[in-house]
Amino acid sequence: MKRLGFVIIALVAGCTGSIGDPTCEGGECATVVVNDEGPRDCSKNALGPRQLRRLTNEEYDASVFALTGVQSTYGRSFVADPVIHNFDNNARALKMSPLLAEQLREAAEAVAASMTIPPCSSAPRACARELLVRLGRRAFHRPLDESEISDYLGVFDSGAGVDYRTGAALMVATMLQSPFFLYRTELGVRDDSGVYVLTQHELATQLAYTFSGTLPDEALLAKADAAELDSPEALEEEARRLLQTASGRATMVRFVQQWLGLERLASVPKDGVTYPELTPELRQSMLDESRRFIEHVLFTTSGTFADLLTSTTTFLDERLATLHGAAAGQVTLSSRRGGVLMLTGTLATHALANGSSPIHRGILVRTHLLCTELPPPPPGVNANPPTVTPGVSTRERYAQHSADSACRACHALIDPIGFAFEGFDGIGRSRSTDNGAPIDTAAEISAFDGTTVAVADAMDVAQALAGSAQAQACFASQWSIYASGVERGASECVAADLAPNVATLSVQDLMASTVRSSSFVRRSGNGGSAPGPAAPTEEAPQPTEPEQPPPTPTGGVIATVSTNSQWATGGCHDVLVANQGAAASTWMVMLAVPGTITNAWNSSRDRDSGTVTFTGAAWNASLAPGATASFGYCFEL
Amino acid sequence: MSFVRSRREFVLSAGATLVAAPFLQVLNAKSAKAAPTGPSRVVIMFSPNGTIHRHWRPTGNTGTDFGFTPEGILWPLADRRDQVVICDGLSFLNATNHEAGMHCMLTGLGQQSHPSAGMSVDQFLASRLGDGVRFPSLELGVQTSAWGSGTQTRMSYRTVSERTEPDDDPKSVYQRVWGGLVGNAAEVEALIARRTSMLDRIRGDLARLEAWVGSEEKPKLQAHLESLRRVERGLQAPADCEHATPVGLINPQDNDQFPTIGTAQTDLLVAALACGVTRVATLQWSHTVGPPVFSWLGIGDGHHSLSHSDDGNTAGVQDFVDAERWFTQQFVYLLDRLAELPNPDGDGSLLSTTLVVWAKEMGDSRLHDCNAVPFVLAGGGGAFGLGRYLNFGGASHQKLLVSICHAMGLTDVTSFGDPNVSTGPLAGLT
Repeated sequence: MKRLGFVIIALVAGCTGSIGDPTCEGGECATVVVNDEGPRDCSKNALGPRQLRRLTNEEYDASVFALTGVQSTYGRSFVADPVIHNFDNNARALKMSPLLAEQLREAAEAVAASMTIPPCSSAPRACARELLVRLGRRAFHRPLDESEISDYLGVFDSGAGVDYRTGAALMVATMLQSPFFLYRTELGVRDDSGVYVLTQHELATQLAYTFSGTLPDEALLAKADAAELDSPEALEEEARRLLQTASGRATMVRFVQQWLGLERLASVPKDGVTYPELTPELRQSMLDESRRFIEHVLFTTSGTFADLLTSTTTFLDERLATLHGAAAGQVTLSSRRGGVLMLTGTLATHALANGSSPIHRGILVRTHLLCTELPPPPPGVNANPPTVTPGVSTRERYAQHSADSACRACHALIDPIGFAFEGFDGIGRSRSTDNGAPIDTAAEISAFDGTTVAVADAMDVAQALAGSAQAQACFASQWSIYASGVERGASECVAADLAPNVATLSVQDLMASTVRSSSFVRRSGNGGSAPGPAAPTEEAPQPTEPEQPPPTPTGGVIATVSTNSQWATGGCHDVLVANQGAAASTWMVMLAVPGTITNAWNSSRDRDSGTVTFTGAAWNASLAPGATASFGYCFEL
Repeated sequence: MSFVRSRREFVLSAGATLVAAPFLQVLNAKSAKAAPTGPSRVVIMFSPNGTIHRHWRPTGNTGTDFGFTPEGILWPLADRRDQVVICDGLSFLNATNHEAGMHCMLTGLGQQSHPSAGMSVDQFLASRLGDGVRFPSLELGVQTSAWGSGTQTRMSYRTVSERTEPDDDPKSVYQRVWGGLVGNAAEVEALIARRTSMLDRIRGDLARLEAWVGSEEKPKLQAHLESLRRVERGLQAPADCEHATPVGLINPQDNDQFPTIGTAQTDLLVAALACGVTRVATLQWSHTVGPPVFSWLGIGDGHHSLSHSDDGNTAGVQDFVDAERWFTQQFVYLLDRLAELPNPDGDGSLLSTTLVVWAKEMGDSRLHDCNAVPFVLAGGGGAFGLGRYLNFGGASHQKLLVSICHAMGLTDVTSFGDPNVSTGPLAGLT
């Protein structure tokens, strides 16, 4: 049930949320720092929702391999997973679609046809039962009950008319499309206080996918069977064990790669004329470099977040060695080059097709390292990338941003960071000149932990980030978003717990400590019976809990107005709408607008001047608890 | 007006009569008699990143007195001037910028409570016209998914919040439509029976799981159930139909294979229509903000970067116009393929019985706005008068979406998208 949240804001005075203040001239950038909206009460409502988490395509491949021994690459050719806040495992967004269901059927049948199924020398149904019980326990992360066994043997029967193998393969293919294989449940059992506590098998499954990207191994299932995952210590011991496995390492590498957007490296378009060296093989070498670097920091040296950002050790294969004019192997390219931001692949991914890009790199740092959300360029602004003129450096070309008032507000936050990375070209090579002009990497970065920081080059940026409380909190936030599959709420509280330890704990220890949080084992929500095989005695169906807490008249929605740009005869405002209530809300914002609106985006309005009522567009009208939407408008005075 | 019948049928008939000329007369007489009854299928093609109007607009005047110049974006349509309607001056009245434009383009930003219920027009048509065919709709893409699935990368919506995912891999498309079932009739029937028993079990598991979850997660299981219904329809025997050839080795992610993938997808789309397995098909080239580098034209910068070239950047504008002209060529290729294959339901070519729409998500790419968003229509089985250049003076493109529904026979549709923004069909189009 959606509730209408009303927010009435009279003409606002002041700066962010502040119009008409002379100090605002030239505008402020309407940024939002994720997970930094002031104190959130994590003592209550800190638990994530009871949820189903569909396997990502990557997890599907890994799980199929673990279950059947068939090396699956089917998942990576499925419909792309949605990417929310850098990660592909967002529980809310991972849904079934008709195309995916078709692709899953094709894949399941192909896997079942190629897997090794032991031939049956006794009664076919007995063999099928043995296979089913063995595979089903792993596929569904729990023992099957008798009624499930009987149901699946029915599937076997409908294929066994052809032969044993056909029946068994049909049964396996069905299992691979079952929701019990495709979704991991975080539903739990309701305790006396109304909170849901995850079952032992759910905990085993959550540990397995979070720390090793695949279904639980035999050791985990055995512990769940014996109810030994019963303390924070026991959970952390398993997390640590999984982190040391090959799949654990690969999963953590992938977390860091996704955080940095490196998944795009293989396909990011590049100009073959400007960069003839950049073959698909070289892209692979860059990915390998990032993998080896991340493994080295996380696992070989048990490094910290700061090491991840500044370690100068890297790993070049022959191709990369040629690109950098360096020796192959474990090397240091320069004392001023290190960390994940200066990996060849990171620099190549965050650049234009035919050059470097201060903007791409500045945005990478602002959004992925400092968790600052930036608004899109306002409509009506000419967003032309500056033209290339011989003898003029990229940095000089982009100087226009700081001259143009409509662009300045946001680009003052972005471009200087990128300028510090101008010592690297569009495929990550070091350079001292650009387009014939000398490189200048000195910059002043504003709004960095609330201050302005002067840097000489990218290594200074990396070191500043390593010591920045905002960057540390952001890293904790990225990890907890990945681990929980939710981008707000519970993940914010986990991040708040982890953030103070980012500077001191090794990255591994930080990750493993996540399981100590009560939100790892508990969920809030309503309805449904206990997950797991049906209990021997029939449980009375639980009544559906009323939605809680009761709605407040305002729906808990707040709106903040900020000046995007302003000039003598008009300006543009951005409005951020945040649902801080506990219920989903359809918002409506009434604002006293100066002058007459000439253009608005991401909203509908009832009039162009005076007190204007804005309502959301189709995609942002309804806000889940904790969600935000932004809209804006330009006006003439 | 050319009229193309299946070549095989033609040769057989001619061989049987041994008199070619009279037969042709009969053929022509038949075509002249076949009164156009409107299109029976629809194809929507999308290409990204807006346009530069002065390079896109035809020369001459609105009406029938217009033309194209070789420097312009639409030049490849010069030979097919009489087969298209160039629609200028259609605007998204409630959306601006890349992302909103992408969402608004085919949905008109409808809400659940609106008559179109937030669906995109292709899915709306599929829901009304999709009965009796194996695929209510087919969505084909060309590199739409490197950034994952999101508002930027999708144009098709089954509900306000559920996007329809395009298939970016021609091999997968081929397999879904033509692959899978081999053997004699009895074997095929037995295989379908086995697969049905598999689907029944999955549905049983979904019901079991549904008892465990709270109200928050029930929609997910509902979506899964709905998806299985589509799978079940796809289980019917594949198209026994000659128009498709198996797809060779293609890397769907490789930038340089963008044209190859696009051609393969166009061929498969047209073949699927010709084989009668669907009536609603979309072809999505990249996505808004899409970065493909048109290396095959010798262009080094990404398409989105180029789309923002201002008039001072003559090289950038030239590259963008060249890239856009290339998309026009792909549209023409689609029309040509549709013209070559016969209408599976009766007389005429596929093109003469198919409404073809080329849509974009923004107007002037440099301004990030959605004013005068370019649309080109073709085919349409007489639903629209062809050979015209029309300017609708800033009318809501939602009226075009209504007109498309009307052309497809759904004359009960009075609005598409948000009815507070616009209702009714586009005056002057028919």
